[in-house]
Amino acid sequence: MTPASAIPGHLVSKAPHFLLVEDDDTHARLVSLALDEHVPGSVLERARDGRAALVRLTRAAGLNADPLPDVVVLDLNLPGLSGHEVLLAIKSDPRLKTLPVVILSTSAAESDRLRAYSHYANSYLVKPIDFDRFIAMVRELGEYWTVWNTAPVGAVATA
Amino acid sequence: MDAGSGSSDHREDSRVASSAQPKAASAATFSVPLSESAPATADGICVAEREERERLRESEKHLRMLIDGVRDAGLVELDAQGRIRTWNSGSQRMMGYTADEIIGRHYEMLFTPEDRANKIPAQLLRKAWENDGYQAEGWRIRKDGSRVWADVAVRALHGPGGSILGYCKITRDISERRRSEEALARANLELKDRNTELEQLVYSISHDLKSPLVTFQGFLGYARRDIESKRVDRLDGFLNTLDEAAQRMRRTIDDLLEFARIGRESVPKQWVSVEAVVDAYLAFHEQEIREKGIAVEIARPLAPVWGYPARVAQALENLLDNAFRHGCQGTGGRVEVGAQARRGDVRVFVRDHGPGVPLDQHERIFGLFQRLNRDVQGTGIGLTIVRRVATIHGGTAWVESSPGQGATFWISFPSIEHASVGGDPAGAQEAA
Repeated sequence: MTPASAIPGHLVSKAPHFLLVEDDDTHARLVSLALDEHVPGSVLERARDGRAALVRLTRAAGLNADPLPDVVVLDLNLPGLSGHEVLLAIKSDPRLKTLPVVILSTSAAESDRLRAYSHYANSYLVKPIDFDRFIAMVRELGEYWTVWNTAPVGAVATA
Repeated sequence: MDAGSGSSDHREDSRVASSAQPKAASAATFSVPLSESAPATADGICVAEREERERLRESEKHLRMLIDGVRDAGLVELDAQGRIRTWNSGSQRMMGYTADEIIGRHYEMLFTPEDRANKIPAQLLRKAWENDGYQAEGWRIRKDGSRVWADVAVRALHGPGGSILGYCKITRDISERRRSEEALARANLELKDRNTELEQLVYSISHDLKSPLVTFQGFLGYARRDIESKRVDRLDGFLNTLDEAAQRMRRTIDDLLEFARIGRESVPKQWVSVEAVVDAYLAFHEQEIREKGIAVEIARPLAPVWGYPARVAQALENLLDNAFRHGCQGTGGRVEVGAQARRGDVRVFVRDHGPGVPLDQHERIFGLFQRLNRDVQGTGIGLTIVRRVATIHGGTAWVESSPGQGATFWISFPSIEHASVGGDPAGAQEAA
């Protein structure tokens, strides 16, 4: 099913691959439902905590076995390692630092935004409570990173 | 006192003599008129001079009485070397020595051994001499060995030609002021801590209560759209998700209310049987523990603790919950409980042999809404409550663990003699 609001196929150059780092199952499901509907062909991979995400990313960067995702969508409030720590780890790893990281958090606190950007977050999104806005945000997130944004190089891992 | 006034008299005498010298000279020059108005005595000193000296002596005596009568300040004269020459009643009252015991001894005996080792007594005098006076606060030692925090002002008494005659020293006991200053600083710090805690609380609550709203609105939105388009296959799942999210939110709010109640105690502190709390918990969860095949080892007897019964029980139950949930994943598992009375406190531990806690999480897991593992049911408030309960008793809570080695959670309660008496949790701070 491809609703009218989905990104038109001719604009999508390739299937975008997101790594969603999110501990809340219901939020992950909402993102997944919205992506399925509005960003056809997109791949949503999920890590349930920061450690799992870092293991996944460093393994990909090291062995070049699994491809790196195009974008990491990172929650801040995670069990164990916080999103801030995950972001710092990604941005201080020379093999991973060019990987775009979008923060997706319920926190709109200035301290969180400032901290995220000072650790070189590529974008900071606050999870909208309103349903329509939430769907619109996921759709535009998909569109922006797959249609409009150009990656630094073909494959980040070889940078 | 006699020895002091004696030597002091000697100095006064020399001063009188030096000031009297010009007079004596004039007496020699104008011997005739003087002998007319003031007849000289046999030893050559005129009556006026003798009267003058008598008057000075009398004035000095009054001054001494006045100084000795000052009871709330130590007024002391030192000679040029720092030996004590006079010692008033205020000094005796403050330091415990009588004048007889201390006059003639060096004033460094009033200092702490550390200050003596650092040559502070001599430095003080030198500063007083260089600066024409010096003021400092510091510890002094009483005769009985106790310490007094004193404000000390020293002035050098300069003699002719830059010589030094001695020092006068005014000492005030400001222990009380220091205590209240310290108490104020402590209260201030505590208030700051509470403020930070409150800020973090507001931050966490706003996040953790907003998060379920995203879920509610999101799944309501999808449910509504499915109903409008007459799609029914996902509805059940959406409704279940909504239900679970609502239940989770209710648990979070319940726990938050519990957390907020800690510290507002209506029941005074009393002896709480750790053994009774643990036994009640095990009895209540018996079936669950049996089904999961968990071995429980209680190092009896468990020492009782002095505290608020409901709070102690709450903290221990949370520690047990934590061990059974996080420390016994899958089947099997072993939980150990102990309570040891030590000098100063009673320490209760709950040990599990589960996955353990990484070092960088040892502090964080006690924070509000901080969780190590999302798969284990919990609101992330349990250990925060444990720590808060420890704090209002004047104790602490901590974990010893390394990954893969299990975890031992500790909570300590001050012994009754170290705990504040009564039902005022704010007083618990004094126990530290």
